[in-house]
Amino acid sequence: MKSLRIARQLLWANRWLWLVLVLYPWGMAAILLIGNIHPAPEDIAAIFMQQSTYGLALVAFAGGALLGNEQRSRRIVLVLSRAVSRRQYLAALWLAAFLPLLLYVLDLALTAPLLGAPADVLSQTLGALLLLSLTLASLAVLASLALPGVIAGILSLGMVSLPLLFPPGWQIAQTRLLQILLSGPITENARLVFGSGLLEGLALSAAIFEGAVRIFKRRDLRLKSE
Amino acid sequence: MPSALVFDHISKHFGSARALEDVSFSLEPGEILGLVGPNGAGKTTAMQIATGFLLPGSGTGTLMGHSFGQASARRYLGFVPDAPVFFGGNAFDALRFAAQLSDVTPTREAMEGLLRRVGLLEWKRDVRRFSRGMQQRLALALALIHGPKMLILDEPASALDPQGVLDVRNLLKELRSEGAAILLSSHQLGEVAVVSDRIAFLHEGRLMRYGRLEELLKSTGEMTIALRNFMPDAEFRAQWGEAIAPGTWKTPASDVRRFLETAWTRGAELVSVTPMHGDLSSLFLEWTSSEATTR
Repeated sequence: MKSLRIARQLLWANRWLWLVLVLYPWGMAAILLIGNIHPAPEDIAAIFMQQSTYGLALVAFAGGALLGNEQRSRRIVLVLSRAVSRRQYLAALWLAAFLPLLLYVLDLALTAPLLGAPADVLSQTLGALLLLSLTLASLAVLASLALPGVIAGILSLGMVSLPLLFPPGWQIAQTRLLQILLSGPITENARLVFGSGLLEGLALSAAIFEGAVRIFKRRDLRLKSE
Repeated sequence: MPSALVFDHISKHFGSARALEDVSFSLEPGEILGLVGPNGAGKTTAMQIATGFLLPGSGTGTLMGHSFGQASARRYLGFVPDAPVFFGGNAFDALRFAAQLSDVTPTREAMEGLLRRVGLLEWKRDVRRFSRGMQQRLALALALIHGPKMLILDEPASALDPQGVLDVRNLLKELRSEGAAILLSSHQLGEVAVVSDRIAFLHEGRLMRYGRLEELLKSTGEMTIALRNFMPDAEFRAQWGEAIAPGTWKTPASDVRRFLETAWTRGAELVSVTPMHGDLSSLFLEWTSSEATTR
């Protein structure tokens, strides 16, 4: 509960950035609709999938930058001088990275049908985006403990994409989810992929988050002295 | 009842730079400890270790019986940083958020009472638009919202006007009488001297002096000696220096006997020998310069 309250403050503090990102799908839809531009269905699907990958960037760069921003601004002092554990604080960062994605996904889910995006593309792409972001948010928070925001974001994006490099026999559900996000929906075993993707995403996210907590507990805060 | 704050042989280094070296002291409930020292002495590091922002390199410490760094320890802690920052919203929003993080739910009346107690009467504006003095008052209110038993205050009155400084002084005395333990760091040494029961003097990461203020003031180690019917000759002046006032000399306590023998052989009559009483500011300068010369 405390984590959610802190996350709400973090989101409010960065509300203009989130607002721009969350309004972006509506802006794109408006341009296409008002401009009377009628892209081909496959172009619509491509635009939609491209917008979905921006969601990954949103989570990676937000998650990677939050800790550094809060330390630079010293607002972290306001929170961690109270009965808030470092685990709760990292959970707040995780939520602040992940929650805007829910809004973004909702935006995409509302705007894509207006443009005529196919239903299977819509559901599978957004599902894959959400499940991959579980792991990505944890990776970004972990990377932000040691790296500046942008580099932490890039590194976490690289890490979450690593399953694409796994040889065929070693591919995990995350690999399939990445393929869905980048190449389009699958027709076989979709339920199995998403079910195992959810379990795998939760497990990976929890393990990475736990690692981040253990590291954060053993670290000094980096506070600029006045 | 456990000590409110215990530093037990705590050291902290940043790379090769020493921030704290084997620092030990304690603070009891109902007591104010003034933490003084020149810039870079380690005061902020000590406070940041107590609040759990920094981890001690070696040694241990407790806050109300809980190890530093535990969230449970900070349940009893109110902290005012040297430069308070806020998330935004009005004073009530800031208080409500702080209270939620400390597991309390104060009423609107309680919050208003607290804001009045710290002298903050502007409640509706965004707190980030407050003047620095108002922000310090609000930071004090945030620190007190959950009725902490231990307060760590880093320059709590540095941006306040004289009335504000007086208000803070009275507030600290009230809190002490209510049983709160207070660790106070400030460069306003007059204020530290007025409110503190004990003083800890840090210099280059080491705790150089620690004790009750009156004892430290006595321990300047110098005496003033007043004489009459005495005109010092050149040899006497060369040995003991010039008088600090007509008929009055200052000398280290260990030299008093030799001084008096020298004066008596020249026919002087003794009026008084009294320990020198400085104030905290002059002690601070003396300690700082003496530590610099003995390095």
